[in-house]
Amino acid sequence: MTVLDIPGDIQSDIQSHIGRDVVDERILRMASPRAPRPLVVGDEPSSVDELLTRVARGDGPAFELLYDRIANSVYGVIRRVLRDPAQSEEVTQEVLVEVWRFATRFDPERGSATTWIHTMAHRRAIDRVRSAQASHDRDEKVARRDQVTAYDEVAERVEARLEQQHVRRCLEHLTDLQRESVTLAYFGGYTYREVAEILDVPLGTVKTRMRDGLIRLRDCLGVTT
Amino acid sequence: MTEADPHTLTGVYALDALELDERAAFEEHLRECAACRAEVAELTGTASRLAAAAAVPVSPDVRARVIAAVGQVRQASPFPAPVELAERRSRSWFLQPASIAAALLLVVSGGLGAIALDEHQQARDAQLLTARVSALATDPDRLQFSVPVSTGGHGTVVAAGGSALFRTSDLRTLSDDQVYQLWILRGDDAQSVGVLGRGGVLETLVDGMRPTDALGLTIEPDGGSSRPTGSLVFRVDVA
Repeated sequence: MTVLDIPGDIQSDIQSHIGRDVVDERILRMASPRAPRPLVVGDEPSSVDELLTRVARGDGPAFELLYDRIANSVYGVIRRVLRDPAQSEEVTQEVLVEVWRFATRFDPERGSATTWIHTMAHRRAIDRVRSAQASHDRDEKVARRDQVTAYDEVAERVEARLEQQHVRRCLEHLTDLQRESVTLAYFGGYTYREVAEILDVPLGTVKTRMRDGLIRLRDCLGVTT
Repeated sequence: MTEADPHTLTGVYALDALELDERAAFEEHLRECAACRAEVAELTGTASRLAAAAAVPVSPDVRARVIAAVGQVRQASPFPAPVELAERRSRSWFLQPASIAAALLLVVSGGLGAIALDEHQQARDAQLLTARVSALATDPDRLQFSVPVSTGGHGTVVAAGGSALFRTSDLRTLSDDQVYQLWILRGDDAQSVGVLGRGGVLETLVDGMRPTDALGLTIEPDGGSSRPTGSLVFRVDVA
C-alpha cells in the first residue's frame, strides 16, 4: 500500500468538520491506489489499529501515516494538561517515538490502538506534572495558587473548544459535578484529592463522580473495548 | 491500599488522577480483579475519546523531528523481560509499571540504544532499568529532591537503598567543547558517575551510594574529567 501524504492543515480541517473515526476510514481508503473503495464507515477493525500493526513490523511509511492520524490528539491532550506549548511539543515527540519503539508490544485484542496511544500520551503528561510537583513544597504552593485560576481556564477550554461535537454533547449529559470532576482530572491534570479540594466536596464523592461520569460518558459515546 | 474499597477507584485510575503510590497499589489490586480490569479498560477507552476531542494542530517541526528520530531508534523486543512477564500475563496492556519516573524510562532506556547492543540484550537491559526505576520511584522510603542548577535548569534526585535516579530539566545547553558530568561526593573525594551530555534533559541511574554521599554536577571539558575541574553547579546530599 502506498502512502498518501495529506498535509496536516488539511487533515485537521477535515477533522474539525467530521468525526475522527470517519477521517480514519476515509484516509485509509484514499490511501489505496488500486480499487477506489466507497467512503463508507464500515465495521472493520480501526485503521489506526492496522497501521500500528504495520508499524510493529518496522514499516516506516505506515508510521508516518499513523503519525498524521494521531499526532494532533496526542499533542492536544498533552497540551491541555501541561499548557506550556514547548514542553508539550517535547513530550509529544517523546510519546510518538515511544509509539514507534513499543509498537511491537501492542496487542489489538486488549483494546484499540488509539486508546493505547492516548493512554500513553496522557500518562506521560500527568507524570510530568506529578514529578514536577512531587519534590518541592515551593512548587506545591505555586500550584495551589494556580488552581484558583486554573479551573476557570480548563472549564472554559472544555466548554468552548472541544472540537468533537459528539463528545461535547455527551459531556453535557453529565451532572455538573461529574463533568467538573472528569475534566479537572483529565485535562486539568489534578489528582482526585486536588479535585476534591478545588470543588470542595468529600473525597469519596469525587471518586464516585469520576466513575459515574465516565460510565455515563461511555454509554453516551458507545465506547466498546 | 489505603482505600477500603478499591473498586471505586476505576474511574480515578482511568483519568490518571491517583497519586503515584496509590496508582501502584491500585495496579496491584487490578492484577487480582478481573472485573476491575474490564471496567478500567472501558473507562480508559472513554477517556481516550476525551483526548481525541482535544486535538489541536501540532507544529510540522514536531513531525520532522519525530520522523527523523524514529529512523534512529531501534524497536523494542515484543517480549518483556522475564521479571515482568509473569506480571503481564494477568495484566492489561496499558497497565504500565507505576512510577513517578515513568516519564524518565524512555530516556534512560533510550540511552542504551546508543551503544550497539544486540536487540535482545538491549530490551532486557531496558526492562531491567524499567523495573529498577519503578522500584526506586515507588519505594516508600525514597527521598526526593529537586534543586536548581546554578547555571540554569533543575536537577531532581530520587534516592532509596543506595541507588539514585538523577534527572535534569531545562539545563542550559553547553558549547561543543563542554559537557555536564555527575559525581558521587564522599567527603573530599569525588567519584565520577559519568558524562551526561550537553544540556536539556539528562538522566542516569546511580548505584553504590552511601547515606552520607552527595551527588554533584560540574561542567567539564568535552570527554569529561577524572576529577572535577569546574565548580559544582548542583549538589544534593542524599541523606
